[in-house]
Amino acid sequence: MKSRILLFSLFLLSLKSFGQYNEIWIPGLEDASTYNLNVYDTLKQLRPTGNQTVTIGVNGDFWGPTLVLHKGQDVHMNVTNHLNDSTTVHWHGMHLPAVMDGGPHQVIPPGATWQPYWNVSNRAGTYWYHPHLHTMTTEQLMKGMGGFIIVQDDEEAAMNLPRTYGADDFPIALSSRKYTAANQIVIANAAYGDYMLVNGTSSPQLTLPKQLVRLRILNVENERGYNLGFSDNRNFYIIANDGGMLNAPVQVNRVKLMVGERIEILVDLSGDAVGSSLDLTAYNSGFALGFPGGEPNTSGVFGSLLNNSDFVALHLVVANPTANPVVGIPSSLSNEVYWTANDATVSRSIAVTGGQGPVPFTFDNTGFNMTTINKTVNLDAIEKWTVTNNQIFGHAFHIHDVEFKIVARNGSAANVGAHEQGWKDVFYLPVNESVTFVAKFNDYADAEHPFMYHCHFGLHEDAGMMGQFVVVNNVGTEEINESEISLYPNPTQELLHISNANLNGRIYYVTVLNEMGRTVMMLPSPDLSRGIDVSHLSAGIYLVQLTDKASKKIIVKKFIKE
Amino acid sequence: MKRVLAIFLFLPFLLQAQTEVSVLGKEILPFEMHSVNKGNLNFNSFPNAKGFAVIFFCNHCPMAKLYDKRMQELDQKFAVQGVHVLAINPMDSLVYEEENWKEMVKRASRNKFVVPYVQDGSQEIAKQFQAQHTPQAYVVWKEEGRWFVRYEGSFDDNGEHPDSATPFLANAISDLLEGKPVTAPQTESFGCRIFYRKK
Ligand SMILES: [Cu+2]
Repeated sequence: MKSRILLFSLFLLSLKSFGQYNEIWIPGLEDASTYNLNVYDTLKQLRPTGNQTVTIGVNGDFWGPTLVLHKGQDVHMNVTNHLNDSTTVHWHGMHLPAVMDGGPHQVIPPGATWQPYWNVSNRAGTYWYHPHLHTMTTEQLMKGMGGFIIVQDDEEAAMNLPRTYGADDFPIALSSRKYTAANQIVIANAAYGDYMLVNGTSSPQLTLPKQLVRLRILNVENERGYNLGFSDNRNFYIIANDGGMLNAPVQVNRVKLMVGERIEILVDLSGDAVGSSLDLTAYNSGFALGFPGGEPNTSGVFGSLLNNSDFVALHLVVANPTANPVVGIPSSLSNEVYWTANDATVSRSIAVTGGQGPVPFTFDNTGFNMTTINKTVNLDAIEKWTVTNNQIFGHAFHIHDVEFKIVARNGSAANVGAHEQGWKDVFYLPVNESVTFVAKFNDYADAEHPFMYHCHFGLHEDAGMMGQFVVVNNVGTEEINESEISLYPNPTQELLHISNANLNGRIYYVTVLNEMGRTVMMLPSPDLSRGIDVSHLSAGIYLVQLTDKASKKIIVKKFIKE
Repeated sequence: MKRVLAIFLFLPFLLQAQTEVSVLGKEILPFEMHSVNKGNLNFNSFPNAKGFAVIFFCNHCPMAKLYDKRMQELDQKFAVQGVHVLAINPMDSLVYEEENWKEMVKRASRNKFVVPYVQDGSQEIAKQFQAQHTPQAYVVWKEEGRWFVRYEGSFDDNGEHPDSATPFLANAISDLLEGKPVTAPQTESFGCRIFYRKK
């Protein structure tokens, strides 16, 4: 008997060493009020054998750290672009000023540091950051640029839920990749991957404790949707959507998750045997054309080895429980009151257009143009937007600035899925459907810098399925007189102050350039009372460009860094 | 100063990527080279030259960084047989501070370059080859006094593990030295993208 056990453990060992699965990387959790995010060109061994893959990492070699943000607190970001291309970083789901949003206009040139900051007002939940450089979003995202954001607040902290990161609470970024013969990620003309890649790990496996666990799942694909379930069809509980905690857990055994969407789920493994395994499976077979990833093709632009099939998204292994496991599914969670269609004072309609042959998908027959503002929204307006898709394929619609409430599908509240209750910032828009949502555009007005709304499919967005809106109010600021501005101390070693006068709120943007004219620092609406930290700059002469919020005129001043 | 600023500010928008193309068999017109370690050169600076291994290369790219030593070894192996390695940096040194002349000098001296490290400031050399990546390798071969591309692609197929790599570039040179057609004249290039200035 003993020898049989020994043999069996040897067998298990050999499975482990030659096994087909790799334990997924759990990004490091960082909890700070200032984050330094360094975006690098880098390499990673993504394939089991052969060449390394050229990737983009944030403080690492693929994907980035998980950032904890606290509702009610300020957060400062120092994003430094070490790529040999421009980039942007968008804080997906965050409610913040447009100039801090990291959309296609907040271009960070190579070598520059972009320093947005905001007061966190989002509810506890799972958000993320990713590149948003127009036409380059797919490439930079597919190479691995991005990361999770976890917002924490008092309300969620009081709930009896698993929340020990990496122990009973796990971030899971579902994606897949197609590779060239030299193990490079196929980007052009590849809507779908052939091989799963979860948190940057191929043939992914996650070991979970034998207890109630919380999974924060993000679809970070180019186009593929996931119809998720567990391989034994067990029920699980959705506790949060894009915009945070639901009012009550929703019990399901399947849920569709489209590109950009997040769900937090509870799954109970307390009855599973230690050492047993199950799969988080994509039940993606049998959908009609229009479900992203339902195509029958295995090759070509819309082909994939995973298309139209049920496949393992993430292999799960059950291990010993933690010391004090959280027990029980809460019967209720939050007490949010949502907008209804009747709250809206403005209604808008957007139609999906294009998509025939070589014509890219668009909204209202208008492709994205950096200099065209498609919608103007008044500050504090509650608006109802209806997006209609009568074209040949499904999409994932995303809007910046706000979390919205889906009030109807095809005109009826009854069609809104139980799993998509709660605040959302992305929704699935299948073929021959319309989705109506209501949102309040509060807090942040800016007539110059727009927010985006777009399809979150990388290839669709890059090809122009995107529009922009500004939120406006009529509060003007006083024009800056150039004599109000003086830089001191000058020369400086550490801090640079802009003026004796209080110009806070009147300077829209500060850009610091070196002698060669390269942008080295980008400070949207800086808090001038803090001064500008230039301690990291090398010695030399620098130019400061200050944009007057009132006139949008640029005032140029010089300083010397010692 | 103001005009200069305006140009630099908008540089990122002027950059564009080339689409994938093959130049296999194309005639290459001899070009002048300014190297940081071997002075000014052209093809005539190598009197015994039967061919050149032209490698587009740069300071920044992590994939390129893995090939410093291999480039020198390749040159040491083949220079005596008349095939010389040229490392050419086509990256825009105005946009990328890391690619400037001073940093190229440092790289060449730190990693003991025996091959010329050439700055292709105008990107004219890279444009002749329509190079896509750093590192990316070509073999140009002398035939009746003219120069033709006989290999294009990668140096080999494993950045971090040269011992387990197939030496595509070296194999192509060996074939040509033996007077044979190149067995695998075209392989996939990979690394960091070269962005070309529109103007
Ligand atoms: Cu779309």
